[in-house]
Amino acid sequence: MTGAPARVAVAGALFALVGWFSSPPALALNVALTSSAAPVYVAGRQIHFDRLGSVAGEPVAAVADPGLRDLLDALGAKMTWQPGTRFVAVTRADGKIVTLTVGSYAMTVDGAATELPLAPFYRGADLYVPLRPMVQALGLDARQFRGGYVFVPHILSVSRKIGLARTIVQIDAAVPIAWHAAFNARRRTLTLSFPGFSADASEVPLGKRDAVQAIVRQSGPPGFPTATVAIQLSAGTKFAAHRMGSGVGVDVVLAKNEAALRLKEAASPKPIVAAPANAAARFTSESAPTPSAASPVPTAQPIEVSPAPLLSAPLTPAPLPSAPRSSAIVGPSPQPAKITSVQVNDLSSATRITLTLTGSVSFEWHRLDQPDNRYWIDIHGATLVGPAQNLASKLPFITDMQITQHQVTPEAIVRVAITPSQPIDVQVGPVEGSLDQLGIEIENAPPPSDAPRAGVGSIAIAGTPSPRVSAAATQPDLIAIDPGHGGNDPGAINSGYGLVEKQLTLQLSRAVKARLERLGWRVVMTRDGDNEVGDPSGDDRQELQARCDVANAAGARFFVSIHMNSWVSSALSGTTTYYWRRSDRAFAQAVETATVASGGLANDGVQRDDLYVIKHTNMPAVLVEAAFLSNPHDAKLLEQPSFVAKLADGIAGGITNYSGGPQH
Amino acid sequence: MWALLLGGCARHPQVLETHQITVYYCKGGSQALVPLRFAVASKLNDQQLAAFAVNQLLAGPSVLGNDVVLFPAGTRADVALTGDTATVDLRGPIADNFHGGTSEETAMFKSLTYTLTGLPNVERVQVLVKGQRVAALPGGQFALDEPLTRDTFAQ
Repeated sequence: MTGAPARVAVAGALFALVGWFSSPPALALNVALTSSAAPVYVAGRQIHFDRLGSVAGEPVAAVADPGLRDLLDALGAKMTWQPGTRFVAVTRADGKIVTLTVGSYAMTVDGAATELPLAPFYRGADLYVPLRPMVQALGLDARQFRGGYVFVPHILSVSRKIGLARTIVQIDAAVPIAWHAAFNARRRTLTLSFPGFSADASEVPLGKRDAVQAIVRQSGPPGFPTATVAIQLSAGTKFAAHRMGSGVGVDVVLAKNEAALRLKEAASPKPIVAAPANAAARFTSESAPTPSAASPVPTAQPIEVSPAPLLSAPLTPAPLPSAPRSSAIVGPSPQPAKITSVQVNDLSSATRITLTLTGSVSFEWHRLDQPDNRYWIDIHGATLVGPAQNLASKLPFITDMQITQHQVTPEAIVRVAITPSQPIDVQVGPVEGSLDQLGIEIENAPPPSDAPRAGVGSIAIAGTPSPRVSAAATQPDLIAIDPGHGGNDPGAINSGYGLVEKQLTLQLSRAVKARLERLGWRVVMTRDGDNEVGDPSGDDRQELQARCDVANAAGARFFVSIHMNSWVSSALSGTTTYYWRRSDRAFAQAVETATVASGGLANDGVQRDDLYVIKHTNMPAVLVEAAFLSNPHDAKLLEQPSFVAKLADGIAGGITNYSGGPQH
Repeated sequence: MWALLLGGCARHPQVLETHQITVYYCKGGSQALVPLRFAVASKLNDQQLAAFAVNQLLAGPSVLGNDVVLFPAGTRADVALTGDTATVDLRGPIADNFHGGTSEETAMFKSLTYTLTGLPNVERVQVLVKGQRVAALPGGQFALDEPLTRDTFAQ
């Protein structure tokens, strides 16, 4: 094995390099290892470890633990370790290397040494490494969270390069980034948001020629934060966003003329280019095929899609074409968009299908593994103008391509089906210089073996309603709890009793969460502190939609928003549960009945009401107004933690009664 | 339309053609709407009529009683008509922060929608906040992203 001597040599060099703060190597037998059942979450998703332990309060994991492998896979990182050897190397998705050595308190990240709280050690045949510093070295924030740990990917840096013809804002992370881009033409603000990522707040001045500054912020609950980079453009500046060559960061190019938007390294760049004068473009993506190693820079849509399904729940295996996984896409545009033209262009090693749309659509794609290799894209909320077509491609690896009106009711769906003679890699996204086209580029390259087999995305066309955010597959044991208000929005206030709605909703939500977890549910909270869920400087739509996005992205089975009611006088009291979709009435009734039975307040019944968060979440959703802050009887009770506990028992019981309990 | 004799000056009585409009306030002790009728000079066009109705609603019930207006004091509204949609642009404290409960908010928009859709030629109400289409009031929950109709409030 030719690599082994080199590895030993590197390890030796590390000792020399960092010896000045190394403590004596830990002897395996002296380490007091206790097993741990602490849950570990990465971007809202729980990762199960077989051999998680704790040493002096520091979590450790066996390097052979499948949970650690899952974690690394989700980050696009690879571990190199042979059983019995002393050296562990982890290659991050951006190519940087993290090393750990048995018995050494030094860890290196891209050559630079940092100190570990404890040294990696062997217990039997298992090599244990300290988990927290390791994931930090992989670019994640690590936080303790209710007896467990939450690891959140971090935006490492936002920097600038100002050239003669263009300004480049480089947004860097250690793990593959998925992002949403939105442009506000009136304010000339380009906002990139990175759901599931944390970031340190900063301002980056951009020299004023192409842009004024970039403002970096983090919002949302600690377990599922959203980082945003808002770039204030100067008048007349155009922009394009490119995935970096490393595949894990974003380059936002700002320039006065379109030619300067193209990055040199992109062979045939196809950036989404928006002219601020008429632009209101927005593109979102959740997951898509990984660009193959043969094409290091994706060329079809630099506003790109995530190579790893890190930020959404694991995608279920693709079903057969006859039974598409409809749960992934929810809510078509109210008026179906029309596909007015279909063009096919053969490039040297790829075929591009360009669809012209009259409105916003969401789409989902699926691919079958070898030897079938078929791939299809269902465009939801779309009708095809004209008959079904066979799309001719001269490229030898495409056997057949068709576009058909797959379904008309209850939702219009247009399907593009591709039958190749060998594995293909497909990119789906908006088209360069166009705000009304969806491009599908088919490459003659096998997708990586671990590439997802299904994904969702959406494209919004200016002037038409946005499609609803696409969602992860439903997690049958996951509940989303939304404590109403928070941060700069206190909600209702009863100053006589010192009651503030945002505090009570959080107190009650936490109690509901604890009870649900005892009943075997997993819970995702839209917030778990006194903060906004969306960008604090954002508008109300952004705030309420952010709450929906947390639940939709996590694939929660049920959504319960928790509030305290208020009225202009003290006349009203009691508990009301609201629903919007008529199909959620029974759910609302179950929650209302159990909450009233447990809390003992007046039963104000269930009401259908047009409330944003229960209208824009994809799963059964209710909003509980547990009690009236404005009523002295209710307010007096709300001062008592034992009463809040009763309300929590009721809400958790109602959810469980209705659902029959979590499904594992 | 009906005729109403207005007092005005005793020596020069005027006869004006009038519309009758209904403004929906709210019962203080429940969430039920209370219709109150007003006579309005018929020379008002549809848009002026809509603006009148909204301003009458915001001004509160004309008689002392248990009925209430739920819009906070200081709320102002610009009203415009496009086709069958009345656009109500809210300004004042309500456009900065709403601290009421869902019951209050829902009844408030229900009273506005019922008032405007009770006018001839108005079927839908689009609420704006400071000129912008919004998801909800700042601090509110009630969805304002789409025009409201009486069906919005159907149980």
